Amino acid sequence: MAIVSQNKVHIIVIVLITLGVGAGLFLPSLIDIEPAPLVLSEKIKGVIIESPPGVLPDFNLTSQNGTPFTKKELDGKWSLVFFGYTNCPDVCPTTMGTLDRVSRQQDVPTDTQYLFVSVDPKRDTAEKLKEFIGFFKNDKFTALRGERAEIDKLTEKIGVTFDYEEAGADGNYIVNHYAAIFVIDPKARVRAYILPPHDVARVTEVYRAVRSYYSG
Amino acid sequence: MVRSLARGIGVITAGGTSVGWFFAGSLALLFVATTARADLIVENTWVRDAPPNAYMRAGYGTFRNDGPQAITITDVRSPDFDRAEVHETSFKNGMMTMRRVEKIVVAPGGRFDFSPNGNHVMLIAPKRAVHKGDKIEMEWVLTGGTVVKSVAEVRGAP
Repeated sequence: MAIVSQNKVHIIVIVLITLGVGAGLFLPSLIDIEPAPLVLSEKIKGVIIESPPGVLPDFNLTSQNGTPFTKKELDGKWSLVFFGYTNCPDVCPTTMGTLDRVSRQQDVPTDTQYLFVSVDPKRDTAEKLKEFIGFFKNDKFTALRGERAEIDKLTEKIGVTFDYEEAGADGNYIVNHYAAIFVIDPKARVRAYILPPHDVARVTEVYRAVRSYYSG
Repeated sequence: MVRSLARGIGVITAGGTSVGWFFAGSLALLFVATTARADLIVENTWVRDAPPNAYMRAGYGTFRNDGPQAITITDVRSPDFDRAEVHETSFKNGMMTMRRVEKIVVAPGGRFDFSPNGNHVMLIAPKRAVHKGDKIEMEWVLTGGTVVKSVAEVRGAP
């Protein structure tokens, strides 16, 4: 009898331990416990880690092909996002060129999507977006536009500021805009933003570090 | 005089900078030219490849002043575009702004760089479709009205 009851105690203990370990393993992923903020190497400057991450609001945009692009398109994949305008002569093509090269780095996961969001919806028609994004010949690139209200909703949430300078005689105007690259995780959360100016090595290193740390 | 001659050759081979004068046979004239005009060297020029009808595109390069006096550039124009302006890109707290640069002063022995995310020539309203490999002429107007020409090839970023 005594032996049996000792066995019962053993079983209960084992069951409790199993439950405890199980809960310990699975609970964090169930309730999304936020890990301590990623600390990057001291050599890397100009990167802000969002901890806890900001969740993007729902939005309704369309791609350069006119197809709808909502928050759902961010689900399940990592995205690098840049806000700009297609008439931008210097910074926007420079940054998209940098992202193009980042996307071709051997150690950058190929399932990454690269998004260019126009903050100049008045001039940036789908056709203009197509011309601009098509120029990079990169099938991982998507250019997006939307009604001003949709752009505002998105940019206000993540702190992208922009303003239009007074138009010249030809009606042309310059847009000043926040020029960070946003690292968005597969749950549409802003994990980090990389401040300009950008170079391929820094963007690659930061993206890899952020992705590997927050994928765990 | 030999130094002036060498400098003159340097200018001609520096890539697209034509200053005139150098073909003058007289060494005296050559000397005048180098002190008065040839001191501004425009090199490493290129214009960013973009969609052929892009309304604005950027040009880059370097000014070098090999002379003993400061050189002031007050205007730029290109026969292929309605307008050209020098702009400076700057970043403050991640915000990109562009400011028009009214004049550029290059100190004796100094240089002024145009490069992505920095100073650039903004070429506005093309008069024709611009393609990769095209040569874009630019004219730089110096104080006093002297014009220095440069040529930049359209290509992708290095």
